Amino acid sequence: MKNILLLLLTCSLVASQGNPEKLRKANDYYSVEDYSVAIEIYEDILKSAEHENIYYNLGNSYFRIGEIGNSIWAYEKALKLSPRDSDINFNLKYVRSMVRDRILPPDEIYLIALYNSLILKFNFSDLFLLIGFIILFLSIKHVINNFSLLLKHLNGFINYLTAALLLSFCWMALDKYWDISDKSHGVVTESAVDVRSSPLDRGENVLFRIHEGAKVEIYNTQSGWSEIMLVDGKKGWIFSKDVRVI
Amino acid sequence: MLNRFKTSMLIIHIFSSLLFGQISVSASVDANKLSKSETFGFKITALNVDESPSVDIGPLSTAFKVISGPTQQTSIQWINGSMTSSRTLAWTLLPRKSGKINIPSLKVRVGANLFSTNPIGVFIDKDLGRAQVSNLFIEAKPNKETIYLGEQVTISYRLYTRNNLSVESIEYPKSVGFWSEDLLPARAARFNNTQINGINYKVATLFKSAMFPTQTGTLDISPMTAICNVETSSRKRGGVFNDPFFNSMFKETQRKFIESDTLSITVIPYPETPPADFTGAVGDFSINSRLDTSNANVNEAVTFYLTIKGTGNLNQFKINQLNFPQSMEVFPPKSSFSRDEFRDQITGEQKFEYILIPRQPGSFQLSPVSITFFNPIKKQFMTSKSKPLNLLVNDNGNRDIAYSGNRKEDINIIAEDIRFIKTNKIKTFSKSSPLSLWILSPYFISVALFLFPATLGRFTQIRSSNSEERISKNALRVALKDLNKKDSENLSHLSIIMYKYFKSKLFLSSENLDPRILENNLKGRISSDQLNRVISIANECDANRFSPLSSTSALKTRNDISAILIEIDKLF
Repeated sequence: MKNILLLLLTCSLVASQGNPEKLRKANDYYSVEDYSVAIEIYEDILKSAEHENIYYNLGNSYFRIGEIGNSIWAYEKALKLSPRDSDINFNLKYVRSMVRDRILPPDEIYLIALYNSLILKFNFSDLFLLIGFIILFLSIKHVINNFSLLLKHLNGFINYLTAALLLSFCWMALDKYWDISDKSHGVVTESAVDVRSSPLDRGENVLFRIHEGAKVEIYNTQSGWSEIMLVDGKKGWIFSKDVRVI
Repeated sequence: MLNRFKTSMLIIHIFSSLLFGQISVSASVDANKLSKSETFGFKITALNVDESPSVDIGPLSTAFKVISGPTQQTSIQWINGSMTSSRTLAWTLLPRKSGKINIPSLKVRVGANLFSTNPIGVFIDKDLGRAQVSNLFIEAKPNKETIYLGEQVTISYRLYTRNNLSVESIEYPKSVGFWSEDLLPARAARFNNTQINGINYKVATLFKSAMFPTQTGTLDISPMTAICNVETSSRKRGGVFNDPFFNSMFKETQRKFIESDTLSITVIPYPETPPADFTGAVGDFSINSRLDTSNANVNEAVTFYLTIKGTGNLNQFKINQLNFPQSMEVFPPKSSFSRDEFRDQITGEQKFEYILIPRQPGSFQLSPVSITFFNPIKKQFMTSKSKPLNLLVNDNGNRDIAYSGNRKEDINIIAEDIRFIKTNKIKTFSKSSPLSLWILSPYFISVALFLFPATLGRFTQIRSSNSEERISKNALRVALKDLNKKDSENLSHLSIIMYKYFKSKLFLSSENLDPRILENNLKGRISSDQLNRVISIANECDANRFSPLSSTSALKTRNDISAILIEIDKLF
């Protein structure tokens, strides 16, 4: 048993050491426009490792062979890891413009829309780091107060400000955490998918049709079916194979 | 319930049939014998219908041209208590060919019902077509029938008539393979008198166009068509009123459609292979150039004028790339074209204005500019060349001025695409993205900083207590060392040594120790004998502090102090 574990460990170590080489090879294939081979290698790397650049390159490769759904999926994955990367945002916006469905979210109050757009700019690590910096600032203030009266007049203001910032960022981190842990999103990878009222493959229960690249929220999965909801609130069941979970 | 509904519908139908009469659809024409240039009315009438009929008259388009329509008319009549309603669709048609033409049966839809109209035969008199020519026709006349590629052909369209008329509308000729320019824009026809074969006509030029072929072969120019309202004498009048005087008072207007013949122009290629610098100019041209000044300073603008004059397809060809000296900044030229409008040939001049900015001083010669064109009269390629121009550029100290004056333009987006892949090296390939050390570092530093003041205080406290103990431990050694020094023969000095020992040993804070304080602190901690000895030594030292003492006494006191301190030190 020990030997098997050791062998697996060695294999995984070798595999992870080969990733830079694999990545270089995949990039080379992309450069000579052999996108299918590049996709195979990128997908292979992603089995053992994860990086926004690999997802980004995979998204490009899928786009080049015309698979918009898989391309959006890869860009969404990359965006999760690096939400402020301009290249990822640009390509995702470009590819999204090719999605056939126009699904408009309901109008939001300005402040909520602002909050949502703000939280999209950060990932969980960013928020954790920001909270760390606020705590660091408070600790520096504590040290200064112990040895000097320099901040004597500003203490009250600083305390309120840092408390407000700390609470805001803690809430955002919590919200982000709930979003990651509770919600599951996916992208439709088939050209046209019928959304049904129940997880049954019958003609009469088709509610509406969505197309490749549409982003959905996955609520429930059972025996090959996924219950999905669009951003405009439309809900139904589709085959799980037609959607790729982000 | 259903049966009752059906019965009531049947009763309503029978009643309405009695009241409104039979539904029928028919087609009719207002004349079935006419000339090729005459229009006629075509009607489709639907009787006793509630909805407007709709019909596709596509089948008519091969034999007839629709001049106007459809117009819609509705009428209701009551005759002997019976109501007749009719809805009529009417068109004005013009025959495209002569002979007997059959207007086929058309499918007419009224509501949900489909009806077929009756076919109608119409006879179009062939002879009346162009024979009417003698009275009214359009003549299309090109000035040449065979031309070279790019050579101008002028086509005039003239309207000949023997009656008074007004032109209602004109459809201008269309031609594929020609670039055309209007020489005489269409305007109200002005008639002049002329004679053809001894017959008087009124003639007006309707339109004149200069056409330049852009391809070789036989090219067709479609006919010009016009609709005219022609005044004619009433033909039905007779009897006493059949008199020229009365006839002049009773004129009627007839709507006539006329068209010119289709023209065929043969375009032939050039008789010899065009030279390499030939850019398509056909005609007779001359070129000249000039500068606004022949003496300029560095970085000052100079204008270079290039003028092409002549007759031909001006404005349709490009001039060859001009070569200016390398040290001159050249801005894109402004071009203008002016045409002589009163000639049938396109004659005029094309001007180009180049702004040059010399960036280096020196004497420059602007090379001559040439234009190669095909002259269709001489049937050969010819070249016109401008004269070389000299420009002296003086150095006025402005050479350091940066290049300026470039017009900025918005970037034209030619196409959009995704951005390229990221090929930079990845430092860490991790399956999950754990909170890395540097993300956690602010927390570690914060904890350290929060604890720092308390830790520092504790450290200081510990350090200070250790120091007192160390001093206390070494008190005897320090005292004995001080006592053994040569200058310790003074009693005041000896008392200080003793007090210093007790201060260190007993952690006393008071600086001004005296025998009483010492007694209070030592009582109970040492034996009474030892206490008495210490107090007596202290009193002795205090009493004789300022009196001289023999060296023997001082030595004795010093030994006593040493003895008692050693003794007491063992107790602590």
